[in-house]
Amino acid sequence: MTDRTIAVDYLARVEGEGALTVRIHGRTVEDVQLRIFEPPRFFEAFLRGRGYAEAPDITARICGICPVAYQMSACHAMERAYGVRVDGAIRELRRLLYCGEWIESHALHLYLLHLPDFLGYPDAVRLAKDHPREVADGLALKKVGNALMQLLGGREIHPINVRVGGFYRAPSREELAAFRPQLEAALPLAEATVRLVAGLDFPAVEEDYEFVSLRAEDEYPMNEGAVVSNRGLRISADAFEREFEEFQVPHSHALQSVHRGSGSYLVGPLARYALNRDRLSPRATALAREVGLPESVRNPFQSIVVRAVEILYAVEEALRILDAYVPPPTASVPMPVPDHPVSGCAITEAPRGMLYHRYRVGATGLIEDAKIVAPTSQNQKRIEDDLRHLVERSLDLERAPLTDACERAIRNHDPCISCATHFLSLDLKREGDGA
Amino acid sequence: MTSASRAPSTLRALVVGLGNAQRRDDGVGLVVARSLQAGGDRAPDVVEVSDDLLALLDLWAERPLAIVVDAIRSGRPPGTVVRLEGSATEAIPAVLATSTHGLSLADGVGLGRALGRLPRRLVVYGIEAGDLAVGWGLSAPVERAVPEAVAQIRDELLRSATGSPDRGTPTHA
Repeated sequence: MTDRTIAVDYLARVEGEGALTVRIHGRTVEDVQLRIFEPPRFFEAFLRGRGYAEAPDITARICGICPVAYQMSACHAMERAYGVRVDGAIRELRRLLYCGEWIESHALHLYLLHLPDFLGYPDAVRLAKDHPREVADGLALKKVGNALMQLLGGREIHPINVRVGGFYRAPSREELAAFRPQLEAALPLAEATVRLVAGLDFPAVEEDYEFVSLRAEDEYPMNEGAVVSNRGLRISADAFEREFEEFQVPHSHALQSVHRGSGSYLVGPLARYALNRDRLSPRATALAREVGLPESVRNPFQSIVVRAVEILYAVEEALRILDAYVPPPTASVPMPVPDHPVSGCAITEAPRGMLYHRYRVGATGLIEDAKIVAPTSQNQKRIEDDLRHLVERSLDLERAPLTDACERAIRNHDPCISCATHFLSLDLKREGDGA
Repeated sequence: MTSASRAPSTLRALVVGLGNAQRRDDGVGLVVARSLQAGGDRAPDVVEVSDDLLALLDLWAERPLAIVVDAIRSGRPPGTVVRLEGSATEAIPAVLATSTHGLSLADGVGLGRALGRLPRRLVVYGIEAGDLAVGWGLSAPVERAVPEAVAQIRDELLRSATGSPDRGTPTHA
């Protein structure tokens, strides 16, 4: 147990290390390398030899911002491995928990990390000095998300109430009903957020993304759905590793992902919105239309608007689930006693995009092999493509504004190195610089 | 992780232990906080924070006194205890970025000030770190500094409770 937690918190703390190298020859951008320290790689090794039921709690430690995503992908993968289907109120509670994480994660990124870029501030503290009301609104939204995670998960940061098969304890109807005023208060804040960010100035950029996300039968995707793209892809999670390839790049110990045969692709809010806009809730749909958000947003800077729409969606969805909630007869579906080797995989929609987990579990229930593909790993190559295009457009900029522009371009995608982009080191090598 | 020893009260002093116990001396703030928590009925409200520093804004707002204990790196000998109050707390960089998204204690203080969510008095006790490698347990000089830091903070809490003059200036100048 001790060994497990040692490496876990170490990884959580350093998740913010990233660096960027751009090599320019004359007026040609020869190379763009974004280096990301990627925690999931280590976790794949720790998971070997642990009990299958430990996967949700171990992998939750990969990220302090989106632990629910790791728990959900782990639970679904294990349940698929053992042929267990979780439905009804437990499924709805999982969705409600995910709503909390989307609200918390998106509000943090939008108000404290991304908004300062648009309003000309170096950080959230200086933004808050001039715009205290907006930052306070953002923190209030984030707090509602955190409170929802605490209500269902037992605590905010690394929820402890989630288990393979469901929850350790399901809330009573009264407990959820008591939460309604907080969500009601969040609704106008979320709407104001959409209006606020829709009115920002966006650099005129259009990227030709291949968007990839889940698409569910009749809801905006969180825990399940087919993997679809705007270029006609439609596969199940089982085919993910056949369709998408992870490979090692020399400049980084993190793996990058490509869609075999077509190259980089984008997961996350822009992809989800482009592929599931018709599944948004009524107010989110109406407001996206009112503020003139296109059906498919190809300007990465406008991801801030899409995140705001998704916050509004998550608040509305949470209210819907809460109002319809009838506690499940048992808080979890019983899992079979392991007696033969199994394997299973699942994808869920983390705030930053698709999170893939695959496990092989031995006859005694111990994990033999694990594979985790995080959204930031999938987006890494696509972020490099954005950066390359940006630098190509901005060759005449001096080093400082070009560095700023690169950092903004990275923050557009809220990678798990968002924190790192504040102290990102840019190594800009120009021919003739002597560098 | 944020865990409160009891329901926070707006009337009591708050002690916040910051840090990561898995990075050796970075966990000293947590160790000091736990020692203070073990003070029986006279113990202050104590929380340990390892991840989300934004939680501090709600935890400490309106408290008469909040004392934050954290590891620092300032070039002093390991184990040196430093006390900061008022605007000096904004200048203190965290040893390691304490939260996953790089919001430091200074950011928390800056946001708290901008949003009017600071305690009436904020005091930071920094303990100079020596070893920040991955691993459990404090290095010897930092371990030896724990009783001194605990004593200083107990004294500060006592002076605050009895209304004795303090050495610093109010947070809200």
